[in-house]
Amino acid sequence: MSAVQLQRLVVRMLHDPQLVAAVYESPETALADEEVTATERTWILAQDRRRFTADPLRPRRVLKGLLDEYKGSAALLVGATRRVASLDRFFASTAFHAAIRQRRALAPAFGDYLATEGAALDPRIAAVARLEQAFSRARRGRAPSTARLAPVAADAVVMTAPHLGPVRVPGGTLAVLQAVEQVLFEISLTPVAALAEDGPTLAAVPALAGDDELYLAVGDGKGAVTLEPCAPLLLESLLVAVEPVDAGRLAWNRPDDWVSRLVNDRLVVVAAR
Amino acid sequence: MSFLTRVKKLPRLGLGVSTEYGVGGAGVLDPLELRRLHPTYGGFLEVGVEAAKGLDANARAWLTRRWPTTYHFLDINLDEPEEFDPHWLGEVRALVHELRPAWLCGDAGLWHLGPRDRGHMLLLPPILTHESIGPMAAGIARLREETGREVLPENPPGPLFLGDLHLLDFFGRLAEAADTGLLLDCAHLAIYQQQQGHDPLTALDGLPLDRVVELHVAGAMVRNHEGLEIVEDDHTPEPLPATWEIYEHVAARAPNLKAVVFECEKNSLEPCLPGFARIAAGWRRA
Repeated sequence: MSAVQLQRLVVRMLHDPQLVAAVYESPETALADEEVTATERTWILAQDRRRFTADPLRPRRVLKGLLDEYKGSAALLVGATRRVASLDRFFASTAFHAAIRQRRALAPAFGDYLATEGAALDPRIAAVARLEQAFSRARRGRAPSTARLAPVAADAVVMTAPHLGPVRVPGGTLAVLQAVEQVLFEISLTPVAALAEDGPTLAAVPALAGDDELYLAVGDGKGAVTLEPCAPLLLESLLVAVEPVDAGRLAWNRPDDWVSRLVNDRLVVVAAR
Repeated sequence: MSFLTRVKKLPRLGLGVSTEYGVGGAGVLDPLELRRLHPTYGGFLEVGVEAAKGLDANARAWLTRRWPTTYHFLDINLDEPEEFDPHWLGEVRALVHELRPAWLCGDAGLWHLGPRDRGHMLLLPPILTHESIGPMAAGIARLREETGREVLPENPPGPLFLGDLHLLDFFGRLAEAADTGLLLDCAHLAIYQQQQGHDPLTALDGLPLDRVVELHVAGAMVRNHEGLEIVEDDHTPEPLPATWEIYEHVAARAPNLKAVVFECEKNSLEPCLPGFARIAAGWRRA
C-alpha cells in the first residue's frame, strides 16, 4: 500500500531535516526510490516545508528513549566526537530510515548506527554498542513456554528465543561499559559537573584487551536483564539463529538432537514460516 | 444489529474530564474533587491508557467508587494487523475488565512509529484517502470484537495532513465502513480547518452526526515557527473560538451524543470552570 509508505516517509521527514531539504530542493532525486505515487509526491510538496521542522525536539524525544539503552556506547561516541550532533545524525542514517521503512524497532537500528559511527573513532564504541544491543534484545522478548516439545523437524524454521541476547565482544568490553557507567553515575549526582573542565571524564575508561568475551543476556520478561557467560558452541548456534534459520542449518556439525535440545531448553523457538 | 440501533443502549455519561497515567499532584485538577464540588462536570472519567503502563492511583481511586469511565487507548495503530498481538490483547482485556468502560475510543492514526516499543510514541493523522479506510475499519471491528465494547475513532491532531479527502469525509466514511460511532474532537478539527484554510464548520454538513457519540473540547496555543502560524493542541483551559463554534454547532445537532470531555487534565480546577460551564450550556441548548 503506497499510503503506508507515504506515512512512513512523513515520519522520516519529521525526524530528518536533511531529508526535508532534499525533498523540497531536489524532489525527483530525493524521492526516486520512494514507494509513493506521483499524486502522493505532490501532496508532500504542497505542504509548507516548515511544518516538518516545527517541532525540532521531536528527534531528541526519540533519542532519550534510545539513550536509556545505549548509555555506554553513546557516551563513548560523544566523548570521541565532542558533538551531540553525532547522536542527532542517527536520524539521517541508513539504519534509521531502513527501520522506519520496514516497520522495525529503532533500538537495534541505533545499536547498528553507533557501531558503524564508532568504528573509525574508537573500537570500544562498537564493542559496547554490540553488548548493549544484546541487552536490548533480551529486554524486549518473552521466554517461550515451559512445555516439553517433540523433536524438531529438519525443515522447521527456528530462531533464538526472544528473551535472549547472545553476543561475542572483544576482551575487556564489559569492563569498559562498567567504567563508562560509573562516570555517567558520577555526572548524574551533579549534572552541572558535565560542563566543568574538572568534572568526570572518560579518561580512565580502560582499553579493550584480552580474549573475546562470550555472553548471553537473559531477559525476565519484565524489563530486567542478567548477563551470563556462554559456552562457545552454544553461543555460535544462538548467534546463527538470531534471525530465523532452517533447523537443518543449525544442526549441521552438531550432535543429532542438538536443535531439539535447544528448543526443549527454551533457548531456541520454532518460528512461523 | 447496526450501530445506529446499538447506540441506543449506550449510557448517557454527560460531561467528564480526561486523565492519563501520572497526571496529577499539587495544583493539578483532581477528578474526584471535581465530581465532589461540581457533580455535573465530573460525570465520568476518560482514562488515557497505554496497556503496558496500566492504571495509576488517580484512575484506581475513581474505580473504587465504581463511577463511570471510558477507555481512551494511546497505543494502537488501528490499521496495522500486527498490532493485535496476543500479549497486548490480553492486557487490554484485563484493563477493560477492571475499568468497566462504557466504550473504547481513541485517535485513529499513527500512535507509534514502527512496532509498539519504548520511545516510539508519536501521534500522526492517517493519510486521508479511500485506500486508508478499509484497514482502519477492519482494525476497529477487530478491537470491538476482542473487547466486547464499542470502539469510537477520534480525529487526531497533526503537524500536517495528506490525502485527497477532507478529514470529516474520511471519518464519516470510516464510521460507516466499520459500522461504528465517532468521537469528534472539536479542538483537533479546529486545528485541521485552520491549517487547510477552511472555515471551522466546513464539511460538517457531510458528517453523519447521528454517529457522533462523544465530543472533546480542549484549549490550544498559537505560536510562530519561522513565520508560520502553528496551533498546538496543549489542553490549556481556553479553547479557540473555532473550537467553541464547532462544539456548539455539533452539540445542537448530534441526536446520539452521550458524552463530552473537557480535556483540561493538566490544569488546576478554577481556570477550567468557565469552560465546563460553557460546555454544559451548549449541550443544554441542544
